[in-house]
Amino acid sequence: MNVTTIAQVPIAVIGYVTAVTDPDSDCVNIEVEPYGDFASVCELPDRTEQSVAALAVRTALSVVDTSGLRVGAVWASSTSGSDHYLNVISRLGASRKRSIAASGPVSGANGILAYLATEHAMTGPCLSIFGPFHDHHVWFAHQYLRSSTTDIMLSGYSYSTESQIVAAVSVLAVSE
Amino acid sequence: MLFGDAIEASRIPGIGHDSDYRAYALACEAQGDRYLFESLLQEALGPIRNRIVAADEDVERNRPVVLLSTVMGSRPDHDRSDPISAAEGVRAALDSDTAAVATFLGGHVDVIGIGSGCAAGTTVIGLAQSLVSSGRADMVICLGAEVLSYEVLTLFLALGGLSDDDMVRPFDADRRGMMPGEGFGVVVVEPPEFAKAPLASIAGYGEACDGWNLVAPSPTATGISIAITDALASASITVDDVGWICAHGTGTRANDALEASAYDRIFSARHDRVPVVSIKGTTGHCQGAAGVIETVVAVTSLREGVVPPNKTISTLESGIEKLAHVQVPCSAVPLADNNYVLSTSFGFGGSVAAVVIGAP
Repeated sequence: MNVTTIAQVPIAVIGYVTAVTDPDSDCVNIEVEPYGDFASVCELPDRTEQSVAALAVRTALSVVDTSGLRVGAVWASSTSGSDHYLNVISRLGASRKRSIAASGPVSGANGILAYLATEHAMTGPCLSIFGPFHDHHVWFAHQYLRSSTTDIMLSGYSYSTESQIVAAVSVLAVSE
Repeated sequence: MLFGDAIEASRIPGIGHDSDYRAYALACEAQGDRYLFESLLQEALGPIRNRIVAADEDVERNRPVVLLSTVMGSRPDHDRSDPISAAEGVRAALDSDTAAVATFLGGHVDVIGIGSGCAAGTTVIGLAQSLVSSGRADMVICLGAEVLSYEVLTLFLALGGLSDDDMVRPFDADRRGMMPGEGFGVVVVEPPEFAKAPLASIAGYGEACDGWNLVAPSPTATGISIAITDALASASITVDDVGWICAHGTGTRANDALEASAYDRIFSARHDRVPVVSIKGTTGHCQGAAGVIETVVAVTSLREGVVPPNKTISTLESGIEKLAHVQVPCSAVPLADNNYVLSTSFGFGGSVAAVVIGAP
């Protein structure tokens, strides 16, 4: 178990997952720490940043028992946006063209986070970050744990390019 | 305890019967969203630019941080349904609104973008408290900014949440929905040793999530309860110390009754009825900027000793009127010297933020 100490409050990284799309197939390669497990998932509903992020978080939470615990998340995305707003608006009948801009980088991280929060019924703080200093997601996750407002924090980021979609998430908790 | 040492007024275009929002939003689109948004940023930060630079050049102080809260920002022009190249991705990151802020301020700041939906404006106030109290920053500029957006108009029209007569009537029996607003708010947060003329203090903060539905509030309002309880506890105050609640109050059928009922439950131990006010009847819903703007209103209220009115109520919804622990004033009422203001914001995806603002 990796432990870092911030202001006398030891924070433990109790799980770490990376999910990276395979450029040569429709699969997503997943690596799980601290177990070193590796898996390839090929049944994703679509190849979007949101789906890859959801897969990473689902995998991370599958190795941690969060029953009865308050879970929150900080998510950062600096490039592609999610399809959350796009899907919502499209489902409601608005034109796709008009809705495209709403899935840009500003709402992107929150779109992903909204999807994750809903899927996992989160009640802890849920913060989305964008911009060059999005690495602060780790710092903010630590701060939420330090302030004792939540039991588990997910600290994650995602980005997508033409050839690849990447999501990584750490599961953090105050070390006993 | 932290101090807001400089607070700039917000620029809000008027809404109401005379405004033609749809035409305005389309005109904005034609003019170019990036130009408009960057103009707004410059208008917001221009008056305090020299002060930020001076803080950065002070060797005794840590580097200033700007927390930019926005829902839509300037939005990219390219079609997101097409894959983008790595180069385009990098360019999008560097060409972002946070980079625009950093460029305008000559690289004298770190800029962190916060996009937690319409809760973002209150969230940045809480994050500023965290950054300053931890010693990470000695000056945090909370900048909430939002320009009118045809996409948001489309979204709320599709959701059935848009007012059909351009009027926003939070808590009114005849409320017909929200109207997006445009504007900015700026709150500068500094530790006591650097705040020369503090206007107010951030006394407490709470944050939670109602991970229940992507676009609808949770009927149990669990997140609201957690955020407010945490905010009051971190401020070390009771429900009786709250002078009024600056409510999220969007004017939609779904939000207002649920929100008022949540306050009624949370403040059930109170000895009188807590005043609940939404300023969105005047400003519209400035989304990512709303929480910062409402913090400015909270500070102004404390300084002037007045609880602002709900200006657009004709007939208070009967269910809200019957609540035992909540009142919804239609005219300004005095605010006691030792009172605090609780300000709340909610966002799509379930984010809930609550901040307690007190005297310096």
